[in-house]
Amino acid sequence: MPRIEFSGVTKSYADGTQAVADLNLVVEDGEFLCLLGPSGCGKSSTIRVLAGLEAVSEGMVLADGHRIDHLPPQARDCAMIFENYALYPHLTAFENIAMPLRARRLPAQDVERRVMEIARMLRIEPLMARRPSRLSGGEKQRVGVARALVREPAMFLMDEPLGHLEAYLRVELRAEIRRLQERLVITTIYVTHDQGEAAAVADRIAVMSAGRLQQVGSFLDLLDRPLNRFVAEFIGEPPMVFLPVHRVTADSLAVKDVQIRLPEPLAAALRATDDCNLTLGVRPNDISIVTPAPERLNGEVVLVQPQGGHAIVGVETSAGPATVVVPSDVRPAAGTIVGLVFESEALHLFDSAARSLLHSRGEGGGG
Amino acid sequence: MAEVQLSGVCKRFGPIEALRGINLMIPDRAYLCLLGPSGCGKTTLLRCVAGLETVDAGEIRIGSRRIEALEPFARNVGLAFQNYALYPHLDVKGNLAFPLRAPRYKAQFDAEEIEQRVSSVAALLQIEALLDKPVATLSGGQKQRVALGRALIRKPTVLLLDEPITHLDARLRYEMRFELKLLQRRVGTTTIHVTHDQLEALALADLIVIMRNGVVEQVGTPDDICAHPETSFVAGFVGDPPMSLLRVELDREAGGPWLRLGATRLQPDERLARMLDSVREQHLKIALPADDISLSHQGEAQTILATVQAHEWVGRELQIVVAVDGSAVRLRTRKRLAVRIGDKLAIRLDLKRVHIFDLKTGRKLGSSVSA
Repeated sequence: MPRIEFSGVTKSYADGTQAVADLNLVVEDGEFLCLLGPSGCGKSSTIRVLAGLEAVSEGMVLADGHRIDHLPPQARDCAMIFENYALYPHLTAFENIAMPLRARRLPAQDVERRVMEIARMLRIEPLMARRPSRLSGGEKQRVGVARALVREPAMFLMDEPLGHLEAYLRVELRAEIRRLQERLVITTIYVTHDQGEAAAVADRIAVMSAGRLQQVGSFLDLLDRPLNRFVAEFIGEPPMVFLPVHRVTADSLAVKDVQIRLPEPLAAALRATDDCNLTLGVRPNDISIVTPAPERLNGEVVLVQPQGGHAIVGVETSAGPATVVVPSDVRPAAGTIVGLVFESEALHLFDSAARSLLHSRGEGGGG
Repeated sequence: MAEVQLSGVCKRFGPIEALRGINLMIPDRAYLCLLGPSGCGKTTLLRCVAGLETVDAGEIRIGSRRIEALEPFARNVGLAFQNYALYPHLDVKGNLAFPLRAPRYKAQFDAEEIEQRVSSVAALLQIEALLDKPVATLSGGQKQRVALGRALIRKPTVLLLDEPITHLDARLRYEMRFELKLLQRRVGTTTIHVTHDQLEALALADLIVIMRNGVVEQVGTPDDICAHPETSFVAGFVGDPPMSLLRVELDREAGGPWLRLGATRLQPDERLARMLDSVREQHLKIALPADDISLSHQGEAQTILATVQAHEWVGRELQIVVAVDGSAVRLRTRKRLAVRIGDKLAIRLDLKRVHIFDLKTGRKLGSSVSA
């Protein structure tokens, strides 16, 4: 199973659009990496370049240190599955899965053994005699995964494989895919726009926006140490709350006229910059609702959304809207005035270029 | 007055009974969510209220008026769908005004009235700046706002929404959820919203109706449904995460009652034991909240060994699904554990907030949670 490296990869199209810009990214041997980002961010182009479905415009793609970007797709040993399953409608599930093995002229008994083995892993043995028209969406995608993996490829690439399935099936199938990947220890790249899906399956997540890699890390890294405002905003549900702040002294800030106490690393980061156009970021889980007081940021409760335990509370403050996640024993009524308190260790500050003051220093695009 | 009342509503498609005698009372101004897995009948029910399907039996009333035999346009309901269904050749204004321009309303809405309604609905949905744009140039969220505006423009007595925000991406879905609820509060129109997403239903609804196989499983407020599930299906379907369901046997031997889970005997506390005294069934399903299932050490009381089936990060929590004697149990932890699928974990089951169901029927037999 190879270690894959994108080295300065750029992909531009004839019309001048640049889908991927100077991508440097390493996927470790046997790792499960998610490429995550909104539509048009370049994540699909990235794996298409790896699979050989698109040519690189600049840079190199390496597998275990050897260049593969000039190789034809079939020589790269990638298995790729897409959102639409692309199964042969006239063949049974068994024959669909057997296809890549038959193409390699494997003896019939080996074909039988390997097809049934992968079918067992994906729990689709009873479906082997059915044609695709008699399979549900989730079953078809399992057959698609089985077909991709039956020949034991070096890399497994998936482009939004669960996009069109129903929510509960997506949850079931992503666990299945992860289980299979752990058993086969296969280098895997999975493209998705859904952060919940990425968090659920990936060892590491690479966040992309507008063709550029923003940050790579575990889900918790991205959640707790976002390098820039894009990542801070894109990762985490409910989304991070952003409030405009102004400087009071060299190392203290205020939201409107409410002083914000900064812990030392953040205060030091603030002293180190003369940027005045700063934004405070805080996650809804790191805000508490307390009684209002003059020295606090106060606001009116607009809406309470229960979530089966905790609830999501919308609060309109003088500095803008804020979202707060409250535990099950806190249920403020709409219309009440409440005070907000921020967990100071969990504050983020972004400069006028949308970089995190604390986490972007001395770090590049990598994590 | 726009309460909606359904009594004995049945609908069949060939051999499939999509709705099997639905009885439901939706209070005036309520935001009601119809929630259930695909094929449960929720969309069929909405379409019957809209008049897009005829009912085979039963009555539907809006206020005091029976509507189940009326043409869709005569029911005074507003509809918005998942796929927006906007007219691509018209601009935003044209789409909003469309329901008012039908020939049958010619006498009712003159040009001035149309203009006035379009601008007030556009203000309500904050799409004034988009009025002259062709709909093809709009983002998903903007299209959904236009679709909602069009549904509201005739000032319907009931607003019907079929998965209106499910397909939007996470951030936008979150924003639209917030907007939709505030909008409904402002206009006060009785709303029926179909969704398969339980977190969406919990967030939006005053009342949730959970459906399965063409029948209503439970009706209640979001907090009520989560705290007091009436069936094992509801217990396993709602909540963040939903409760875990375990098959157990009631064992009255040797100082029991015990709850037997494979080879392990779980000891109920006094309160639960008292409740179990009145239970006649031997085969039970119990539901436990995720927070009452914790990592433990082998050999401790109420502890069983389980196999990891899946693990995933949900926010800052690691959620682990383990198999316990054939049942899947979900627990969560804030520890950064490096678990692999197939690992054995010792887990402790705390029975202080347990709900007990009949294994066969799924109906509630009792609960150690006070009502």
